[in-house]
Amino acid sequence: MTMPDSETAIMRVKLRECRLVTERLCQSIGVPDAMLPCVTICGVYSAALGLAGFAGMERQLDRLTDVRPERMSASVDDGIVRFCAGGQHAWVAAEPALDMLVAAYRIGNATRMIMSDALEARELGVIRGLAERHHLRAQVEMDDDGVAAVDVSARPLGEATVLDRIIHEGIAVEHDLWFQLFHRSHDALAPDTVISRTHTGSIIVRPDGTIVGKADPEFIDMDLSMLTKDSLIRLEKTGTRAND
Amino acid sequence: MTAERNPSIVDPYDQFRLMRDPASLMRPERLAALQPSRVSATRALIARAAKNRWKVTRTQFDLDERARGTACYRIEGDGWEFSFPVFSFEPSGKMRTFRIIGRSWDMMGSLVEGRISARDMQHTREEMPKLYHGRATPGTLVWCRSNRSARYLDYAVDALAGGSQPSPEVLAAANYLMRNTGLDGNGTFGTRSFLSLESDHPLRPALRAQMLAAYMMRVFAHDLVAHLARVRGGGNAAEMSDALSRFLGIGNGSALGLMFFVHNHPRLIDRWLRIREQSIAAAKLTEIASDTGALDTLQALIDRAIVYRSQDQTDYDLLTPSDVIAADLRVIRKELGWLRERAQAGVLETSTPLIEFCESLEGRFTPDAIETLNSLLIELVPDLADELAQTLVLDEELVGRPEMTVSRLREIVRTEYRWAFDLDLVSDSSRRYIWYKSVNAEEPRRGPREEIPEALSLGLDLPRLVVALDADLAQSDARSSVASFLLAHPLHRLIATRVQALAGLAYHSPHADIMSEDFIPAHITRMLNSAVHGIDKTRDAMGRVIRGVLMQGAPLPADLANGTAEQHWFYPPEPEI
Repeated sequence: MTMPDSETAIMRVKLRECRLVTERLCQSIGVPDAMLPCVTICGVYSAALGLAGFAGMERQLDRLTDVRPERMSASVDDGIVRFCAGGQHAWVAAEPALDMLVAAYRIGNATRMIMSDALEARELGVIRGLAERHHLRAQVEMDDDGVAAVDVSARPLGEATVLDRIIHEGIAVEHDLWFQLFHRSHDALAPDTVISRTHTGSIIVRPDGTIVGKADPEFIDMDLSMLTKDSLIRLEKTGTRAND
Repeated sequence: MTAERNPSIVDPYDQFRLMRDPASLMRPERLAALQPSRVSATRALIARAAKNRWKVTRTQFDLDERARGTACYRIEGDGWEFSFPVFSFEPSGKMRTFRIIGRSWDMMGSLVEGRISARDMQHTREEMPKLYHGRATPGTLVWCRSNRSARYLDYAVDALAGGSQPSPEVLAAANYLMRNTGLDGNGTFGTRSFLSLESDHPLRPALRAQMLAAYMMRVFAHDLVAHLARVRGGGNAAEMSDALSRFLGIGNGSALGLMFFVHNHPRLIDRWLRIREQSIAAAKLTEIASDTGALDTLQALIDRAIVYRSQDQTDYDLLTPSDVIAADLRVIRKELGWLRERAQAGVLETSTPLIEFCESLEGRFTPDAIETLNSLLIELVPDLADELAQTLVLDEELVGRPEMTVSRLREIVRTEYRWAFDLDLVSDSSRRYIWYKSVNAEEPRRGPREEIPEALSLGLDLPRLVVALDADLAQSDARSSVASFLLAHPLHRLIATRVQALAGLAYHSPHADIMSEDFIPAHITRMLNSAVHGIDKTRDAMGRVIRGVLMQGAPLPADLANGTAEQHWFYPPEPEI
């Protein structure tokens, strides 16, 4: 079901929507562009794997505001990758850490990684999903101190992945929560100023009413006040046709 | 006498040899010249619908005299069934614009799998006008909306109501009755993810579902005009002739959002350009002896293109005017005639003369004319093109190779992104612009940074990212892994992953600095609209908007169902009425 069920108010959101909203939320709090895809996919896996997910998103965002990936470090000793997250959030550390393990695994140096000092360590469970992207299976065991042991092994070819499941079934989320996150994700979008409205379109309407751009008789019925009004955002909030 | 076959010419790898170097093809101005072809989404859809005789049936049409009401269509093809409910509105000038910030639409439609239930119909009616705040029903593939051409729809209605046919020449100024103002699918608003479509799903290849929705908007536009003509003219009203109906497509306008599409779908762009190149190469390898059938077909298609371009009333700005293209095509046609004469006389120097023929055109004609010929060449290998177009199902997940060495990554950067190092990436004018999305309808925009300081940059600054990556790779241990490199240089993670994931693909990204004052966004938009979507008569406005017409000349539903659709329906001449 994609529609919200009237009794449970649970809907299923699609991969594209999950990724878009999560990415915008992360971008709006300052996650560096270079880290956005890897942090975003962790947020998506978190929701799909029953971790913090959408219900815990606000908390994760609060703890993702100071991303300093340079604090992370790693070494390989006795066939084990030892990864110190340096106090970084699990969504920031998960992919760099798994990369170290995958690199070691593929040249026969290690199949196990010990991860320590990650914020929101339980979220390291997303590594199960991330490993599938490398065609590997990962087991993640967490101790009471937030230290994770990650073991990777070969994965049968053709076995459905978490991402496959999201693509086919979407992710369940409470309707109101989803739209709350959706609206917050708009923090990553730019304000709609009159000058900003000149940054696209086939014509520009100057403050004095003159038009820059070629007149096209096909568009004589256009409402040019849409390009010059101070605020159009109310319409975006209501989301309905103007002539309804 | 036909020359002896040169073994190197018939080498199976020639197809790949003939595919163009990305250094020339991926320049924005060359990409902008690519023309619609058989592998474009619209044409691939229609080819399949015609071949398998898809059936479109109008199941409901309850519109009042002011065009308010509901219609519904059923589409049956390849063992699948779809519904296309339409909600029609009386036009309103309030909040009406050609941009996505518009809030006034004359119709909204939904492409849904199976037979839509009354409950889902009602749900769609309520949800669709909310757009981003609405949710599609299960099995919904696309939500779409369109507006009338105020001048030409009314003109057509008036003429038909009076019992006569509208003038094709008048209608050819617009080429359509309604224009698309939005086609959303693939997860947007809760629509089905296209990657989840079943392996035998006829709309599985990229953009097929959107193009079917566009086709259905055209069907509805014709029905709307007929309805309004009957309302006004009663028993005197005429039916629009089939020839004129075929001639009219559905309008389209696209702007900056397609640049984001290109960056978010690099594998799709690569595959699309690759299959186009592969089809052209295969066509050039057509063996021609005294049997000139292939050349006859090509000549006939060029003739059709010449007429189409000659009759085009579109006022072009940055892009090559149609009369210039027509003039070039006339000369190309003449030279092809000389080739044909030599073939008939048996005095060809090679069995595959189209290779040399095409090579001889470069530099003498406009890229638009040459790309028109290239597109027409693909019609010589229709089965191959159709087969390749079915492969446009791509997973765009970008995953790195952590075990790759720094030296190998640098080698990829230096060989596959050589173009980036040749650009001016430091001058103020090269860094002037920022790409962003407005909170207003998420409209993509591009403007000088100082005019929108609050905006977060959403554009992929590919050349600068690549050059910066290269600088740090050069300073790192060549034998260490990319995983270690990215741990030390985390701010290269996005670009390093992208470079690795796309390694070996030649055509995934335009060779351009999109932040530069000199970059013309319309070049990339036109490539998408024209070559990928299959939109004709694409013209630009202010270098950042592209307008054109979809499905001009496409078969009508009866043509599809009856098996009477023309194979070469595109480039239709103005009908004589």
